[in-house]
Amino acid sequence: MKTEALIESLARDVQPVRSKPFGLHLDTAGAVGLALAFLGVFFVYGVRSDLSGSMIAVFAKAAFCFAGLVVAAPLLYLLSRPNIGARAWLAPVFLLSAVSLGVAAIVLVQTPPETRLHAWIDAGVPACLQRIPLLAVPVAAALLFVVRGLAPTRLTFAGAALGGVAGAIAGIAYSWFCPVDSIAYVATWYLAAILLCAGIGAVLGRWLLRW
Amino acid sequence: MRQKPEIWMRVAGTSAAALVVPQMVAPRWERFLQKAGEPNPRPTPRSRRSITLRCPTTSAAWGFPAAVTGGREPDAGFRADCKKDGLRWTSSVQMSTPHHSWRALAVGARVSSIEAELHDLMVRGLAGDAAAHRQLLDLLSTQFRIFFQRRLRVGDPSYAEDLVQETLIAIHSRRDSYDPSKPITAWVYAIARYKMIDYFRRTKTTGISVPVDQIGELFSSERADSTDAARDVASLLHHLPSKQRIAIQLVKLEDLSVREAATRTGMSESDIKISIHRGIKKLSALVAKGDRS
Repeated sequence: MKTEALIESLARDVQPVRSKPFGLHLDTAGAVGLALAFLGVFFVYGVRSDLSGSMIAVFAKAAFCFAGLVVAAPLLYLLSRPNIGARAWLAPVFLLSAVSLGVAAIVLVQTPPETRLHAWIDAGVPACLQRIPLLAVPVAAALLFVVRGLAPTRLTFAGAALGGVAGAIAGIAYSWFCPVDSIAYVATWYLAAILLCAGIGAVLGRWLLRW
Repeated sequence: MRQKPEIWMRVAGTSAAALVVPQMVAPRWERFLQKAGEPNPRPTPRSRRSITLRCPTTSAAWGFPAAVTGGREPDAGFRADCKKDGLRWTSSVQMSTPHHSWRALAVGARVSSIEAELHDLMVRGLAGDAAAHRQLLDLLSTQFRIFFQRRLRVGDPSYAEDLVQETLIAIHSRRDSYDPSKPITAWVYAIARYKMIDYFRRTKTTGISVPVDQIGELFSSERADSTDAARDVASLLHHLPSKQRIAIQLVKLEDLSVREAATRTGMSESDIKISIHRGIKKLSALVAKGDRS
């Protein structure tokens, strides 16, 4: 087909297009993903039994994940479109990671040595490393549906941002189940779980985000 | 960096809204305001502000440059064609400042004028103006053709044309995701770049690879061909009568003038001219026959 003919056929029937409000669809997808993650927590893991007595801890953990969401969301907003210029927005991510690791280190140093290991990894390998990414799967699916329509052009980076956002949203829901309230545990392993989601997203992004 | 406050406001606002306020309210309210005849609160995009070139010595402003030429060589200066007071002005500038700053200014102004033109067409196309949309695609198709052909140097040019078409289709079908407050050049070239990488990924090639069975064409013995040509001419000349052969050899191959050739051979000037004319006619007949056989 000749290019002129193609242009002719593309420009034949031009309807007015309302430019989508910035990030609205992504926000909606995130809200849907959050609902899905909550459903997952309620029906698969169940809310923790002592919920009424530990709301402060639950909200603290949710707030930590929300902070992760706030630093990851601008990256997803930018990288899900062809406009590239997201490098400046990596700084808050590094900052949050460094601060939470620093807090974890300080808290661990102050705990007595005999309980230190238990405060850090609770019992054995932290379960949230596996559960948060699992909960993030439906969230990521909801986000993928929208992001593919927005034409990302840097698929690996967009996948990483998407994974990070999905992990943070899943973490918010997961805090309603998670029975461990140790600060060092949350600051280390929630962060690790979210970063793991980002890594998985980076690896899968180039296949899942193609359009 | 410049989007910073805007995104922070968005992020903070929308994430609070996700928890507290039903977030569909805000855009509806915006639409309602627009319907009610209020001015659009969206700020004028950067690319549509007029660009002013200022002469550093006189501080005279030139308005919006329609085209900027030159500015590449150190002492060449550059020319800005501006539209001012409804008239076309052409300002030539000689260097009085370090050339690189002029050059940056000139290149920047040229890029900005393309950007402004594309942005204008895109905005009108988004509003439903079919002619503007066609003009945009036309403009972009020439730009992308250059872009792709430069990067797929070896190989079939139809690949580049395929990529141009794919990119145009992508831009047409995804134009609803374009945010008019962002630069359009970055947007369209990001899509073009994506389409090219996607093509490389699909075909498992890069821009400089050729199929193995065509590799002989890459190393065509062109240097040998050119010496062969000289040999061919020599052998063809032997088919000519000596008068014509000598005339052609002296005038065409040894670059003598007709008069010099005439004095050297003792023939008249018109005789030389006629000999050359007939000889070349006969030579081209010989070559044509050689091609056919």
